[in-house]
Amino acid sequence: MAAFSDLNILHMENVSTKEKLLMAIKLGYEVVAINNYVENVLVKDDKGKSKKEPSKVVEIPAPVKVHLTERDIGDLKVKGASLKQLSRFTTVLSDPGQWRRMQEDDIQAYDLLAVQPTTEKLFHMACTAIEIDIITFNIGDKLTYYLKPAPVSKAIERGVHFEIVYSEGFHSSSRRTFIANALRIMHVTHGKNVIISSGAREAMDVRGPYDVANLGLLIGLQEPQSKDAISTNSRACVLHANTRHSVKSVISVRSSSELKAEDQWTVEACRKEASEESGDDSSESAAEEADSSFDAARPESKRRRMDGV
Amino acid sequence: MAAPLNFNSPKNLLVFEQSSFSNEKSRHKTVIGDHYFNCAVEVCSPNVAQIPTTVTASLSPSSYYIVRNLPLSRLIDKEFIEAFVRNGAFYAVSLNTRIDVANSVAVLPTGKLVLSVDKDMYETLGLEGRRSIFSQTRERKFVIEVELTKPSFTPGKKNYERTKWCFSERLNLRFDFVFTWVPHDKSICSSSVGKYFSGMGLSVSSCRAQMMSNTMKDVCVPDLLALNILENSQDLFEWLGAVSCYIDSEEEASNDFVSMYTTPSPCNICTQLTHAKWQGFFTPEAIAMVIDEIRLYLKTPDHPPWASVTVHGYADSPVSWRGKEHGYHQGGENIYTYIVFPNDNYWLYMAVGSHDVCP
Repeated sequence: MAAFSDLNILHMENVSTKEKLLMAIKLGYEVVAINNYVENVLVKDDKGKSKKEPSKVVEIPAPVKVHLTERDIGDLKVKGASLKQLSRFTTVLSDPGQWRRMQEDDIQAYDLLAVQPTTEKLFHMACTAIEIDIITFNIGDKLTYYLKPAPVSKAIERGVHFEIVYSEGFHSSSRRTFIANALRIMHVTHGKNVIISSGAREAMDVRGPYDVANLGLLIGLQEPQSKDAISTNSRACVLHANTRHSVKSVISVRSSSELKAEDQWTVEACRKEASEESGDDSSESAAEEADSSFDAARPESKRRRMDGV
Repeated sequence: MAAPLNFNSPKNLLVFEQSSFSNEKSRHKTVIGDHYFNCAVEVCSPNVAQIPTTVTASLSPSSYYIVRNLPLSRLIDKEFIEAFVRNGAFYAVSLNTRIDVANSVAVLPTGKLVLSVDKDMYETLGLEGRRSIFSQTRERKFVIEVELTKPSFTPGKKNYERTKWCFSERLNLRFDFVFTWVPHDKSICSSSVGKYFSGMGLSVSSCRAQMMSNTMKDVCVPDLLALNILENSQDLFEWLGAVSCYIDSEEEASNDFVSMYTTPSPCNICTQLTHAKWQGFFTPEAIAMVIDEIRLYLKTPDHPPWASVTVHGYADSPVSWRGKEHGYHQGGENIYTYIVFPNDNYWLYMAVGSHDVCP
């Protein structure tokens, strides 16, 4: 099992995110993603103008990281564990052109990317084509399209996760649609690649991990699956996000000085091997101190197996 | 559209036994002796003003130690094994580790080091283990067992060197441990393990069990002699739990908003009901001593009709009874309760959660 994680703590202008984080720490979460929600990444100009004119650029907020003091994380029950903060970007996918905008650096700087498709076609696209980590739904409103099994199974194969936001179920107005939508998602995914997250607007919306796992039973998950939805699946989702920053999701390069002390021997080993291969021309190979073995992920087709823990 | 849902409660197990301490085949000794890691003891008895001092005396002085950031490689030092693991019962369990999300380690008094590790740790550590019986469908947890007292587990041998390398070089594993040591030779002080660890520059603190006691006046207590125990065993266990949580189970409480729990019938009004709880780290020997003191106390004049002893095991320990695997699903309870009567009869409850083996 992996650490408990809540991959959707909503960052809002007027509500303290720190308060929500502290609540999550108190309840025993160790991985938390702070979510920046931008309704639309493309704002088209007025209708009269020609299509050739560039659309207005929407300012994307920078990833948020909350500074926590040693005392704040003292509540973490597990000693030595520090809270892992991730950043997440969520947008509504209402136009295929938005994906081009999302590939730009300011959005790719986020750890996790999530989209909320509005039509069946865009849902198909999100499941099968575009490089995102999470497909989310406006779970408090009635789903306007049918979730087809084919794209969903393709998404599961690619390691894309489906999100259920439980805080929507707390409001009496949206409770019915929450359960209906969640059951529809369960029906089509059979509980695979589902993550349950809070989507907390305020600190009181966050629930403890065991309570959330219990809630998972209500929406049709089996007991082990229900716990996976807040631990193992979330971890797989974060790993899937990491592969986006690597070359063909196979190789990533980093400085050997960033390696942990106990892994430093691999650099020496690589150097030795390289010098043996190229005879005595060791100075050249030593310059390239790239360690690829440790961050290696697998190609696209194998990715699902890697994600399953 | 969706399949009908059925909300079964998580699987749990309650074992009830009745026997007598004087019965030769009674297994009370093994039930106590094989439950290694006990974190709390509760004693409850009606019609007494306070828990007898003999019982208090057998539990309160039991001291235990907490060592911070102990490297696992220190536990497999030959010097340590020869001095402590072989010459006594060394009980240690990792502290502040949640077994369902991370790794948990314990040293059993039988000289076995048990690690319950997650998949990441298992694959990077490089020691041979087996898959946890609670994660058969998907690889989540693995159990690694190292026999410390095996003659072949000695420096120079392949297995020993490999284990040593994995613990110190491969991953420098460090855990906080709560431990205690009962030497075979009574002339040796049990605090010498603490001295040994602090001699290595580790921070070791000595702790004592903490006692909480509460006496309730004029409360409804089930009449155990009139109770048909084979039919109502669960009700009685539930009532004992309610007492230990200080739940108000009076008749008028049945209309209460918070709890509608009432005492199972038949019940009598008792003038007082005393409940005491010790928290700490207790060896099976200390628990056995408590049971013996309770038996003696029930034979004195003016004795109460019965007394109960409840023992809580560590929820995050990797083993429960007899070194059998233990896990944590929605709860990690491994509890046993003795209800002792003056005629040496006893009723025994053993309760475990869903990730546990039948005791």
